[in-house]
Amino acid sequence: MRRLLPALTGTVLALAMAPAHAAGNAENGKPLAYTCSGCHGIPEYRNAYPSYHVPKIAGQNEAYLVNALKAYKNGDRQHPTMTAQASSFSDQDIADIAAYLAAQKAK
Amino acid sequence: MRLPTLAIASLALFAGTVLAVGAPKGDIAAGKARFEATPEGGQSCASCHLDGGAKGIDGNTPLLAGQYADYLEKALKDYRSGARVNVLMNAQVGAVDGTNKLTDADIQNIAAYLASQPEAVKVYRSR
Repeated sequence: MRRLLPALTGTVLALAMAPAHAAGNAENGKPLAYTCSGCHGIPEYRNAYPSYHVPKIAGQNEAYLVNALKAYKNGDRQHPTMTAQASSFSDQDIADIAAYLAAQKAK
Repeated sequence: MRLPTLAIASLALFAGTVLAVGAPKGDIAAGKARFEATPEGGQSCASCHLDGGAKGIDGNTPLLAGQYADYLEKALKDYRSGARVNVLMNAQVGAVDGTNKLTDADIQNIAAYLASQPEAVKVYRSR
């Protein structure tokens, strides 16, 4: 037990310190994000039924973008096109796309 | 005589419709006040969406400044109805126990205020 406790403490610490999700690679995200521009790259572009502007996503916070894509994937956010897009990406793809888009800062 | 009158009336109606579509619906000053107001026992929008939505208190908090007003309205209404699931935002807009529930007018005003701010996010251009 005396030997087990430090080992357990170490494991818990290591788990607590592990990043919540894989780090994104912006370079890998660039080609993956090409599809996004079909809707998010057109100024004033609107979603149909219901009609509203497709959101601006360049320069958005990285973790928020990861959450958004995962929420479409798991159903916490509902949008047929976005669900289809997000479902086609792995967690690493999502991290990479988010890293790339977040780096496109507004001036 | 009848035809020109009708034509003018139609034209006026058409122009009115076009103007109405282009005009912001919300009240920017009222939206700013609501965004910054701290309700009893609650937190203001501004306590996490810092600097008029230009910054987030952490990476999970989206940048809202300069975002399209109608998208922001949809997001807030979806949080309120529960169609969009986020524990913090569902509670914040009154979807959980009705505390501090945002009215349609609140949502329209807040969206107009945020959309009027300088862009923190922009249209994505692939290069």
